Amino acid sequence: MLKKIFVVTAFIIELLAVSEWFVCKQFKDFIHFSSFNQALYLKGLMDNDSGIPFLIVRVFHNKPIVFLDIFVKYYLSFWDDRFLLNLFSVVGCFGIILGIWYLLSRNCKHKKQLWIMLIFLLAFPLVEILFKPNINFIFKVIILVLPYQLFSLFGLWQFIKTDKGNFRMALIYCLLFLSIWWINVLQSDVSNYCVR
Amino acid sequence: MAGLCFLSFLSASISCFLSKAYNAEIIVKLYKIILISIFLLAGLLRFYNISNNPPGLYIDEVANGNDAYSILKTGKDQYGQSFPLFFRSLGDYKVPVYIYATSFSMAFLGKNEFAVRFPSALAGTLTVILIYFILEQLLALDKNKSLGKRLKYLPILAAFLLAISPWHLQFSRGGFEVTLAVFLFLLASLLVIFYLKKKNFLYLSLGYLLYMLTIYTYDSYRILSPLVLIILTLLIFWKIPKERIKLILLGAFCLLLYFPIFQFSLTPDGLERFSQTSAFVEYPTRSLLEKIKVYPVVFLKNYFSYFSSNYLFNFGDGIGRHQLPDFGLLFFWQLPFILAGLYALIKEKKSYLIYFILGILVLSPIPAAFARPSPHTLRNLLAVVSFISLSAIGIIIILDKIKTWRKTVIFLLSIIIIYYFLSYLHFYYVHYPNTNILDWGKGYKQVVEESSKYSKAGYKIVIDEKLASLTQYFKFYTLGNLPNPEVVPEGWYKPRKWDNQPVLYIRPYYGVKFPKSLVENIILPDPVHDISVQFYQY
Repeated sequence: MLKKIFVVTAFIIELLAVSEWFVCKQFKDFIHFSSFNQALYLKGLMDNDSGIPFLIVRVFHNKPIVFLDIFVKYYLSFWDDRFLLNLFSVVGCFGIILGIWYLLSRNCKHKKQLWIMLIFLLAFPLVEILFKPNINFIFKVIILVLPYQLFSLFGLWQFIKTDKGNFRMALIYCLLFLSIWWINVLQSDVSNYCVR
Repeated sequence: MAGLCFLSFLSASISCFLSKAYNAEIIVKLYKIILISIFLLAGLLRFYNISNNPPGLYIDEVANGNDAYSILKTGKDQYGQSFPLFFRSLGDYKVPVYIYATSFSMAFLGKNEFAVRFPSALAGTLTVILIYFILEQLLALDKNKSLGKRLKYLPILAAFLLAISPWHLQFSRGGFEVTLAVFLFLLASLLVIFYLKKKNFLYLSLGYLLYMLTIYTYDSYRILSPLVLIILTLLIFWKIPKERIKLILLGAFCLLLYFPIFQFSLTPDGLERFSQTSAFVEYPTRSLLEKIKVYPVVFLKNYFSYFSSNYLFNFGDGIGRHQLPDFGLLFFWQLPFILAGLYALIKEKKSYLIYFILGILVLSPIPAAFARPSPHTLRNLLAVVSFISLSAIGIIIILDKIKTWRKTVIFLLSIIIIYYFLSYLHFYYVHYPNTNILDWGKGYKQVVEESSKYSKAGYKIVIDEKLASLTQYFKFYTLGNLPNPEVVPEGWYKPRKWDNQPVLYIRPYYGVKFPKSLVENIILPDPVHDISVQFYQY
């Protein structure tokens, strides 16, 4: 029973972390891919190469490579832990890591479905990164975060359901406490990532 | 041409590493040659053209160089202090080891850019050799022999990855104390590993002394090294009871060595640096209770920032001296291998290799998290060892798992590694000297060279206070042969008593005020900032 209460509390705290974002109107452009900006960036790079043989300039500064690099940069920006800690809370992030760990390391019942879910989750931010959908921000952030929260709860549940639960419960208890503390003290950090 | 040479060299090396699974005989035959080639490559990448790229000496390098030269010639620092333990510098005090090391290099190489950067480049090169021996010894020490067998090529692969690591290269090529501190820290760790292997207390004593030396080499190690020493001492005390008395004596000796820096840290001069860089300054608090509430979270926030993907793979810490613009500290391609390596290590039970790699990964950001800005590439340089080892483990583990298409995967991986490394070299040698000139001090050298001509012609040199750091550059580049320039406040006018004295007034670009007196503009060739220094002749 206590274990279930812990998981429910984690879910509530994760929701609390998301609610900090409700004051925002849009994510800042650090995760929004813009092909126009990248074309400018590429031109800037090539302009720096005066006096260099054209072949070398082309090898290092060409559209496929630069666009791939920049795209990976935007994608990784979504997975930046400073951003995620604000979006999912400390306990939420820990849960996501645990979820991935259990998926990779254990034989569980619905492994195939969970793998599909993980791949879906890894691809999910691409919608925001590539298309920046123009919908209500609160709605957007809930849609974006909810699947991760469920995955995080899966991880947390796997972590504490075993017999070695006491130490693990204590750890989760500390993380829950830390998450509330974090949200309370660093709430202003949200403004680094979104436009109010 | 240089690029093509690298390309062929790297292709050969990497293919040899990675093809071990299906062509083990070749790698055994070529093992020593490959190893020596890696060390030579590390040296070449760290020493090639370091006098000119990074473009110019930045102010801390110049100040260190001046102190080192002064110690070499007079036994005193710039401020007249004999063989100081803490060097007064620009607004703070510096720990001494790097400055004394620079004195040695200046004794042989003279007072120039190469001599200032030589200790760092040498330490960086030796670190590559060291990481090879550390990982080799750790694998040999482990009771889990299957791990050692599986990761047989870990040391050589990790040494190779460290040799081409942008993070480590960047700091090895500048006159940064931290590179020397990392080298000493790893050397101390190697001695501790020797102790664990041979149970000879001399190794442990030397290791402890070297850990103490790191404290006097770079500021972050004031916290990191004692932390490591406390953990090590407790573990050895608990595991090896017969060494307890010797350990207590050694610990007491280390405390004695720590005392001067501890005492200095509590003085106003010592506290000044702390107050300048403290992470908590940004979060003003009024009461003790508020401090207890805010500081731990700020610390944790900073701590986690050292594992941020944006920091590691995208932009670094954003300071131009610490990485190339728009380049991370690690290559993108390393990410899946680091994750795979981490997963493989955590799954392994008790191993010295795990303790070493994960220990450094977890401990190295601790001192840095107390300071701002966070994350900070320089303060966390030691972590490069962990990330490189993890990616090497990841590569080996993943290649072992691949049964079909292995040759194709190895070929593609080699191409990716080579391409990204050559791309890094292109950015470093072609773009960086142009785009980041202001982060270094090339323009200052030009200013000194130009104004020296006037000085030799009998002009008195005066410098606007906003360019006060120029005095250090004057001292460095003129070897003290010309009179030191006078620093004057903004809006200075030539006094009447100097009427017969020709004067060269150097100031930043405030707009053209006296066009007739303006003799020269030195425009620092930076396409973004377009900052110039003006020479006025009175």
